[in-house]
Amino acid sequence: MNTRVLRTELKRSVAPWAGAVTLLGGLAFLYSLSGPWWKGPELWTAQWTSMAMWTRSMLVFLWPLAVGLGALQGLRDHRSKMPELLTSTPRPAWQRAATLSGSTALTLTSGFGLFVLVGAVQVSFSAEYQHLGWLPVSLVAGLALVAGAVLGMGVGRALPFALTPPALAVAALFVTAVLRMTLDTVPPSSSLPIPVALLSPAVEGVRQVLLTFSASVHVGQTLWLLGMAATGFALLAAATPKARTLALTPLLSGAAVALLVLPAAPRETYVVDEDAAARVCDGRVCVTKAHEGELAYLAGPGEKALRLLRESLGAGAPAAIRETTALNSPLEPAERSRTHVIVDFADEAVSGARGEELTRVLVGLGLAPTCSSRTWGSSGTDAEAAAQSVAAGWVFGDLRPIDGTMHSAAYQMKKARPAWKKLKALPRAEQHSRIKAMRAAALSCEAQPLEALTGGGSR
Amino acid sequence: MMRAVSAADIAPKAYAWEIQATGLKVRAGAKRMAVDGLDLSLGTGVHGLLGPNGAGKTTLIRALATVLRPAGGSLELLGEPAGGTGGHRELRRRIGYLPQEFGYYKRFTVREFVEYMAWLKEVPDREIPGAVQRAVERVGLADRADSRMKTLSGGMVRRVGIAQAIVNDPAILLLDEPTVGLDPAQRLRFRELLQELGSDACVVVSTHLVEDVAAACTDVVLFAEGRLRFQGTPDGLAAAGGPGHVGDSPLERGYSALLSDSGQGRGSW
Repeated sequence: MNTRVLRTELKRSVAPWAGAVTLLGGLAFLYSLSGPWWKGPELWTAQWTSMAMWTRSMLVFLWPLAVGLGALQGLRDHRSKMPELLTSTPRPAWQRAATLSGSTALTLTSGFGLFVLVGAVQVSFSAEYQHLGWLPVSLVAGLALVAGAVLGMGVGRALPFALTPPALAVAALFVTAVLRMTLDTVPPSSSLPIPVALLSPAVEGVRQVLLTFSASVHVGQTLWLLGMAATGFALLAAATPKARTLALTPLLSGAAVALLVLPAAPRETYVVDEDAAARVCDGRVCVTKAHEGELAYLAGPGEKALRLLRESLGAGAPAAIRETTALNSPLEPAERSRTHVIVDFADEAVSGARGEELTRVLVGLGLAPTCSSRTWGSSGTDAEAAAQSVAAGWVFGDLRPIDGTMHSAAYQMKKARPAWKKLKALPRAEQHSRIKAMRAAALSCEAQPLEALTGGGSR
Repeated sequence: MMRAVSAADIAPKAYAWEIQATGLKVRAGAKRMAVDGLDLSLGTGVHGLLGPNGAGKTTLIRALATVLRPAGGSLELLGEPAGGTGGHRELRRRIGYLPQEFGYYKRFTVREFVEYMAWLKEVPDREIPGAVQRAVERVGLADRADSRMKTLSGGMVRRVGIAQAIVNDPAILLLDEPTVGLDPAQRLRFRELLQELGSDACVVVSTHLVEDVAAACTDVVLFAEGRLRFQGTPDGLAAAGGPGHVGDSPLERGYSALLSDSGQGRGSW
């Protein structure tokens, strides 16, 4: 490939714009809006996979832009009235197509690469867990941008009308807006067949830091995107109607093969990253490898909480603390265990507390495990927080609210204080059995722990 | 700057005529046979292709540029049959073409555009910068070489069109209405350039300006209704006319005389 010509295309085609839009569009969106990518453990610069997923989620609008800009580029020959002159030249059309699509591919991947790099530099300083498992997520994103732009060029050349670029961009936006999965359910689901939803190059962002794509998702999407790029390229180089029709073959066969390769079972799409979820323990306190850094402040209070639980509950007390690795959803009960205190760093009551206060939270979780998950920007129910504050208060001897939920201290106390007074009025042995009843109610997730505590509720 | 002499330049020609058409038929669109049974042999020199509007000049030039495939007869360019299947890759490297409607990329600079065209014509990479500079200088645009195409006047754009056509030192140079948009001074300069180019290439210039032909062409091809009407020197064309024919100059009168036989060029526009 002639470097002068490539340099000219890099300067004069849509290539520089495509690169700039990708880099600046992505950064502007992430930095100018306050979204879940700025909060809690899902912070986009906290973990490698989170960074890869959040940056790729920007494809929701970056991909349609790439497709539209590609189509705009595809119109150039027609609008410049160049085909006559081009037909008389000896160089094969595919070489021209390669220079044009190559220059845009170069700037798109550079732009997106820099965008990822901005995140990567921050992650490399902040993350304890360093790995390369995130790389396929970003590589497929880069491929998607290139394939989209090349397809746009091909279609723009085959259908050289002024309306082609906007129509194509809107169609692409439709794809990223409609073909999607929701992580709000366990397992993730979609209103469309799962493999069809996975044809979208965009992703849903991060709801749980341990979630990543399964290998078959990467493979299926790669095949689909390669087919798309091949069709775009063939359309760009095709001269006859017959060649244009033939050019659709890679797109269709890529889609067909991808639909076979992409997982149909929801549990095989977004999966728990086994490496990231590997257990790292300090004594009886265990977290995932992804959160190894949190062990430093969790281990001490954790050990103390386990001792206090053992003293108050006796033989039935949880024997260890571990971080949840289950898929969770605001619509489903959180993971609970009779033998373990389950913590979730997305629960700000846990991730926001230190020392004595953390011990208190862990004791509360041990005696009245959370049923409505305190993640996803939700804070569980106020009754659960109140039950935990009463439970912890019973062990510590004084009633204090649980911090880190959106239920204010006063509000929690309004619920907790009557229960607390009722509980304290009972004989010690009765208090003990009420606490156990509350724990059983919380574990079952069927009864209100606070009502179990006061002996009121139905059972 | 001198260009290296390549083997192709000094090799003896294996053909008698750069362009040789026998019974050539070329369609314009789906139905109309715009070139209909043309016999024509053109060698080195400047050939002025004259004819009324609709005579099939542009169709003929497009066929010579290998853009249109002949519908019948035979066409040999540089000794190679043009019109069969295949990309004519070797042949196209040695053709220069300025279409009647010259399209260009507006965002490119003059140099970038001519470079791009040189690349498309498969001029060897290391020769491109020199060839581009020479072509741009020959059309007098050296001082605008780094201006964007969209900032140029119509005449300058036309000159870029000529520059891209000659950048590969073509053996066959096809110029369809090259003088449109050129002012009188530029037209004079262009005639000189044509004469230079015609010394070692077969240059075909389609025009409707008879005075261009008189000044720059070694040979006149008069073309009407898809057929050859006259081929000869400008003087020969002038000699065909008499005082009774329409026209302000001997050439114009010759032109009218040769066309009047068929009823063309007279009466209506």
